[in-house]
Amino acid sequence: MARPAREEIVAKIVKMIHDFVPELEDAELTEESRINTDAAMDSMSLILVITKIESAFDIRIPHKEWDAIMTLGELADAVERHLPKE
Amino acid sequence: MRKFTSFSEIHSSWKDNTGNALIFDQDGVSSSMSYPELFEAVRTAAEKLRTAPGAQSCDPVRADHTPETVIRIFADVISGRDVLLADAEVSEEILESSGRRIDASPGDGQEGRLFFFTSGTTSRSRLVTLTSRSLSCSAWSGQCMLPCGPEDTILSVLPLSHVFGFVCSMLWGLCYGASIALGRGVRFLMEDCMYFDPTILPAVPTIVEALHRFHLLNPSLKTVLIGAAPCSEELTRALQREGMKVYLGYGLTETSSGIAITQDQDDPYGLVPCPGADIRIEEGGEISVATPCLMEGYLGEDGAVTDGRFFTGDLGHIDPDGKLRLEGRKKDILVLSDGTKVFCPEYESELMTVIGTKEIAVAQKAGRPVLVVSGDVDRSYVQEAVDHFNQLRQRSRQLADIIYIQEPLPRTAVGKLRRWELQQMLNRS
Repeated sequence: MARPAREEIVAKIVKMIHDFVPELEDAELTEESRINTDAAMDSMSLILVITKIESAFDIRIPHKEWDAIMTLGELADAVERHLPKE
Repeated sequence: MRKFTSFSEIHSSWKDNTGNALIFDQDGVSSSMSYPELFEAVRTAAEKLRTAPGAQSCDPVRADHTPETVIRIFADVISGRDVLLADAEVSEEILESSGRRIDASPGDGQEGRLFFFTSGTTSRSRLVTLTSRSLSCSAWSGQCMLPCGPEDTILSVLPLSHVFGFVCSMLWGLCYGASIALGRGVRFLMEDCMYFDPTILPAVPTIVEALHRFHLLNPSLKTVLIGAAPCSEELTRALQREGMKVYLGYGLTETSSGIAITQDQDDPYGLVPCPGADIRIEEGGEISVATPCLMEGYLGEDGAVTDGRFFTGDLGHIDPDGKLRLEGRKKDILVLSDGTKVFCPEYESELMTVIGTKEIAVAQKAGRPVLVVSGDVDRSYVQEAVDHFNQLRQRSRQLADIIYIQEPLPRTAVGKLRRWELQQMLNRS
């Protein structure tokens, strides 16, 4: 499978958040959007989003990296880091 | 119903139980270990420990949800070895130094003791000394109030290094023949109910709320046991409408878990004392308790238990029906420099609603109450909310300042605010 482009990864993350976090379903999200604070989404929603992203890209982001993910762009970075190298 | 007084007695009872003791995931496949298999595994491990060098020293255990951890804890205790339970958050350094503080077990045939951190991961965390007797007693008193049996599967997702998780999501079931489904970790927290199909879920409100919101509670689930904080009435009612019974338990590490639990589904906050728990309301509204499940003490400290009673630091009252009703945490009260007392959760609850974030806390700076706000927020909006809040209060009770921080508020693993740690942060700043 071809390695997805950055835009594709970001678009998929945005769709996951819109689909699984009801309070953000209409939110305009960018790479700078903070997603790891209670103001954005609670910790359980973040767990759900990360695990759905992992399934979608067939990757595992080690749990110890989760707390360092503050923004949507940083989640995209983590996805890129753990995608198989081409 | 048998009242166990030691882990050896619990262990012996497994020989004749034909059901599954543990259900767990092994390389993506659901696996199980029967009670006789668990009995044999613990017996063999305990036997090895009895003859091993250094057998009486303390064993620090990272209490993950694996059969190996369950076997190790029971084997250690039965063979007379003390166990210090910790989760992944506790650093190696703190774990080792805490382990060194524990004197060697007497080695006179007695079972090992179990040490739990009261909260958190810092060097200032206290270690609570519990015994297999106090923990077995807690499992029994829980069973008197909310029975489980061989037909039940209890999903274990709470940390086993916390006494609520240890007793209610493991020991209780293993005493009375239920199967314990060992959760697969944070990554699978949202999927474990559907995967293991439990009948009983001990959990904290945040987990239950999220599982309910995303429709991830399995249809066979009939009992939800809430601890650490009360469930909102709205969520309680929603779960009840879906056929579940919701119980709220109240207890502390120092009391080996629950001392009171709700019984009436129409009264979700009326706590009925467990057998043997003599609960009193002291001067100032503080709850004190005498119970056979009480800790031996804090490691290296005297005087935490007075005449067999422990002062919980929680506030409450006993209603005319004899039910305990919690009102808050004594430590949540700020005593200001002018003697005014401020009950922080009351302020926070009101401000959370207005500001729209849970990442706020009320603390004290220079003898005045201040609002601490974590993360990115609209500062002008927060200021407006605080101005309005202050307008409704006497000057002595008004918030004197707003302090913005980027780091998350310090919390325990179950989400409780660590107020003293926050206060330390403010004092340093």
